[in-house]
Amino acid sequence: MEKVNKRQINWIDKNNKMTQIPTLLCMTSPSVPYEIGLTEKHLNELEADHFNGQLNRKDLLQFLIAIQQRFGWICKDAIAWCSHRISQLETGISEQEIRGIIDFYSFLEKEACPPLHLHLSTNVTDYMLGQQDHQAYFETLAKEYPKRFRVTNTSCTGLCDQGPAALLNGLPIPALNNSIREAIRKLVEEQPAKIDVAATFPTPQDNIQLKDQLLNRQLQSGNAIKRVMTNPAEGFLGELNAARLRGRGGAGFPTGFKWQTCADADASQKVVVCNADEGEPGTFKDRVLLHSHIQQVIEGMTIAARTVGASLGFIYLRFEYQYLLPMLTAAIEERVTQNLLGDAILGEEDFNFHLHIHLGAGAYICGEESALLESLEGKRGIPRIRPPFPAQAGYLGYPTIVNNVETFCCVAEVALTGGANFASRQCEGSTGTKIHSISGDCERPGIYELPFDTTVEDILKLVGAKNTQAVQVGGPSGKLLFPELFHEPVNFSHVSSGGSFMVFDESRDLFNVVKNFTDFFHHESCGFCTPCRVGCGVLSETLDKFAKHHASDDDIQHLREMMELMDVASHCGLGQTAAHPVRFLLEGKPDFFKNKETTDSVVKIDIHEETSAARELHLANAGESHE
Amino acid sequence: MSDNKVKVATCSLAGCFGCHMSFLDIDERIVDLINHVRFDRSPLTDIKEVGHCAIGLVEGGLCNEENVEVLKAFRENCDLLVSVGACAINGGVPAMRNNIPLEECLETAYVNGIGVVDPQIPQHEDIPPLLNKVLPIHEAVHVDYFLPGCPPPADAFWELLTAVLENREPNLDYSLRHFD
Repeated sequence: MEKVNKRQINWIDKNNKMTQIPTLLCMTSPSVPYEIGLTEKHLNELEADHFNGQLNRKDLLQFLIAIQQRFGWICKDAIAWCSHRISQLETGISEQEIRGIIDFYSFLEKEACPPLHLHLSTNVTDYMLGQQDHQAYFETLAKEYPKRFRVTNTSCTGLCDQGPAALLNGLPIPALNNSIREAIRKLVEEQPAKIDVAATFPTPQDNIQLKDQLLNRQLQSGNAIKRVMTNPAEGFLGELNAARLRGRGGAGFPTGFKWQTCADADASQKVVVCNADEGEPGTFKDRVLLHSHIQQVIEGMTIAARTVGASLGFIYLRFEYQYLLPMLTAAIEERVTQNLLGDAILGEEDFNFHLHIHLGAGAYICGEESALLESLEGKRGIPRIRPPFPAQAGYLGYPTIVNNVETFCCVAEVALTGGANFASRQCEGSTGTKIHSISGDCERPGIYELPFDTTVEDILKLVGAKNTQAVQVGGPSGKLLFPELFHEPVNFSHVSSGGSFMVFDESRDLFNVVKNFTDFFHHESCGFCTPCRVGCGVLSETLDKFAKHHASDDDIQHLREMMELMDVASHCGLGQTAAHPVRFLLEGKPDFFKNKETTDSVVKIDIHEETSAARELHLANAGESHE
Repeated sequence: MSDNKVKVATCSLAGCFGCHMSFLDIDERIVDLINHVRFDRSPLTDIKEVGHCAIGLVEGGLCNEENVEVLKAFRENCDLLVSVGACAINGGVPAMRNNIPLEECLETAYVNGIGVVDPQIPQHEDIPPLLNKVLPIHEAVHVDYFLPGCPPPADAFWELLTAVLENREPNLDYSLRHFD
């Protein structure tokens, strides 16, 4: 510690006193009331409690999240401490690199933060349910109590069927209304040391509207594994191939092929990862599966571990779903005591599987599997160049399979009822069922499990949608469908979906919908490659011009060129699809853009608006007041 | 009017006149050019108001209200409007202020600057108000051609003008678009 001591760390910043945030009862950290501030002692304790007394490079993100959760922000001395601790190991890390990580993840703060921090969700469905009103209210509140309360925005929180939603110090509050607003105001005014979020505010509901095989399944822990264990490990690959199971995260990659690649790889260690970073706006089915069907998920992961020969597993849980953490941890612990996890599972020698939960910290891109692996290793979530594919070299270079939450539920189903049976329900090669998260303009939003021959029209009828103008299937990176295509079934051959289904009726201005999605991508671009980082910004700003009626044909041309460039030159899927919302609307309903073109034939900008800063300084129209 | 020469107007908005200097680097070819074109509003002629022209060459981006007015007049009067050089196309050096609040920029230059006498932010009816951000000209008007470079090479001007006079599409060789 010499290096650190020499600098004589003053743990309490002179200007920004680092007070502890009120402990939220459903959080995992032990409940400690307001404390004087973060000290070296706290960091040592955290390290000893959660990281076996030695902070590793790969634990860094989890450590930063732990500091963030307990203290509300990460001060520069904590950064110095982390850098120093990790640099004692072979793989050192500079303070700058750590600051880069903090900047990358949107829930990590490196500036002093008031003890209560509210994140309002900005998905289009939240706005459709009146988010703007709450935004204005909380902004006023934050102005009243700048030292106690802050309000900022965050991307979709996975509560689209019960919005407008928010996170209070990371814990979800669905269905904001006046009484919730008042309750938050009361907390700000009274500053209690402990806040029981679950008791004070409504909790997220499952809201399951229609069940089929996956959601009807009540799995007796271990039953699926026991069935698989009657055969040798590789035997299950045959079942998977017979099931023709395809990944449920959105891309629809054949699961059997992925697992085969991993099983074939020669390595001392293999890894199974469950992708619970459900970031695609409008998707919330994984939240429900984690909440109410966790046994199927873990069982599926354990089967994967046996099949490919993995002994290490992670659930990558998005930050927004951290309220599920105590429940998930308990489920894992229970299974360890049942010998369904851990060493020599159910007595089978060499069948070891150790499952951990890894929290995300607010980054949509970490839903992309290679970015997720980077994040698991404690780094910024920047997608890797492939090959090698994760199934060949993934987490720390070990062959790794990454599958969606729902895919693992399907795996458990295949294990229980057999691959042929699973494949018997199929439509044009898509087998099994699909869980959809439905939100927007309809009478009964929520979770629907549907067979693959269900058309968009069927779904709209089912959810009670009237006068539907368009549907966004598969989230912003999916497709914007107009009534001409409502007869298409939602499956891998026609309209592919990861589970997001947002309905817009005729009262909606689709331009605003597309603008919302484009702004989302602009915010979530990881910044690694220029076509995406700059392209998203250009799209967003160009749409701003339309919104202000300052755009012209030139801007439509400009949009087209930018879409083309992003499509061919971006590093990963985010940049390649970021322009899709604009493209679908421009090709489907160009009038939404044409209506917003400028009426001035010569000058497109509003000179009054463009000189607003000068006017504020009393520099514009100076002549009137001058002498 | 007795002559049937093609009329050309030029101006420099938020630019440094470097593009104009580069234009003059066509050297003796300017004699040939004068046989075919007549300059309207331009720093070369000192005509203040732009008349109807076939070609308008605009150097520099938009940094104040007056720039916008001049550009508007050019767009209304020129059949072909050409965005000339890095500042007109991208904002260039003047746009470096875009990430700094206007007040801070002015205070740094006129209040806190080294050696400033009688510090104050200049304010007079004759001083056009600054825009919030320096804009490339195609943000404000339709532009027909872009002549890249800082400055564009003399040969690029030459190619543009000869192409328009010969009624064909201008075609810049790679060497005229490559600046390493």
